[in-house]
Amino acid sequence: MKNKLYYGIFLSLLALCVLFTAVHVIYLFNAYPDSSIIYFISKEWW
Amino acid sequence: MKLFKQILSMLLVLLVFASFNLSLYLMYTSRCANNFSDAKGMKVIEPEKYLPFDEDSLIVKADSTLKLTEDLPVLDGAAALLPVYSAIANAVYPADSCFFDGESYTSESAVQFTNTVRAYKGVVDGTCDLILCAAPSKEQLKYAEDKGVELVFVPVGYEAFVFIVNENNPVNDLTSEQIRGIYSGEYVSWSQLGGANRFINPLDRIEGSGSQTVMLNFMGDKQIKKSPLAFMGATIGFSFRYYVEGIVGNADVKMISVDGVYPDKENIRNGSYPLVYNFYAVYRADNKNENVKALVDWILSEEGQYIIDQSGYVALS
Repeated sequence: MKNKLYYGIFLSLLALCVLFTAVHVIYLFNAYPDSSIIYFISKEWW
Repeated sequence: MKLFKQILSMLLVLLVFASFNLSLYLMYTSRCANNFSDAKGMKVIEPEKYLPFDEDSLIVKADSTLKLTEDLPVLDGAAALLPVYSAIANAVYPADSCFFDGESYTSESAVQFTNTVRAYKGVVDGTCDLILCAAPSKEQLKYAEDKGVELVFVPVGYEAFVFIVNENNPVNDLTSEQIRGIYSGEYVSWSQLGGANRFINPLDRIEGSGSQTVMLNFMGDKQIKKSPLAFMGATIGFSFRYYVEGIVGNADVKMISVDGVYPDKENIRNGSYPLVYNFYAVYRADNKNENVKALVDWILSEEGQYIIDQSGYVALS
């Protein structure tokens, strides 16, 4: 019974993580830096 | 022991997802103008800094022998040229002709600020009389043609089309062919061009913007393409020199030389920088307001060209 509970929690957390990551990636592909192109380049990591 | 292992594996999975999302956020998402970055609400230009008839305005304040008092042509244009056409209004129009409500110009104002895409539409539709812009896109020309409108293009100054990278990017110079190669997907890593071992992220702009139109012409027959992994790379972008240097002035971004020539005012003037383009005063050929032509002639005069030069652009002569 306990095992099932842990398994359920684990799957729920995994589903949440996958969902959050999917939303983030979809957002990322749509968040195109157009007029803020200079800001985008200035904040680049080097 | 089994329970400990289960909890540990849960934490590990969470950690993997959290690290992935955090690195993605730091690397890319936070740099876009969105609700989570410093660039929230960022504008292409802050029009309140370039108001005509305002004491604290950053525009050039010059005298004019031409003074218009009625039938004022409504001015509009590219964001980067707002300082120029605002200075023109300041020199030629009466002080009670321009109205700014703190966010934008009101509909009765003789100066409008809607940017290149809307300005071209506006001049064709007749909502403004004279616009200052870079050359039009094919779509903008087609829009005028479809509406049966003939537009007059008068070159009034020069501006350099520039490529920009982060200040820390070791690449300072590219040839025109290398830039075409970057934007057509031929070069995918900066190491192929003598730079760091990082992907290249070539950014372009929205269709119809002045700089995107110039870029498409610059590319010629080559299509703009980029690798799906490009977003992880170090960026190259493009714009006009004065917008980068004069209006935004971000010290963490640098312009690069093209074919060994740096895009400064001297190299634009002497023609050695290869990507120099005219910008235009554009109006409808059938515009019956005689002041439109008078204003264009004045822009081409010594007084008008002085404003263009002092605003940071390069005058015709």
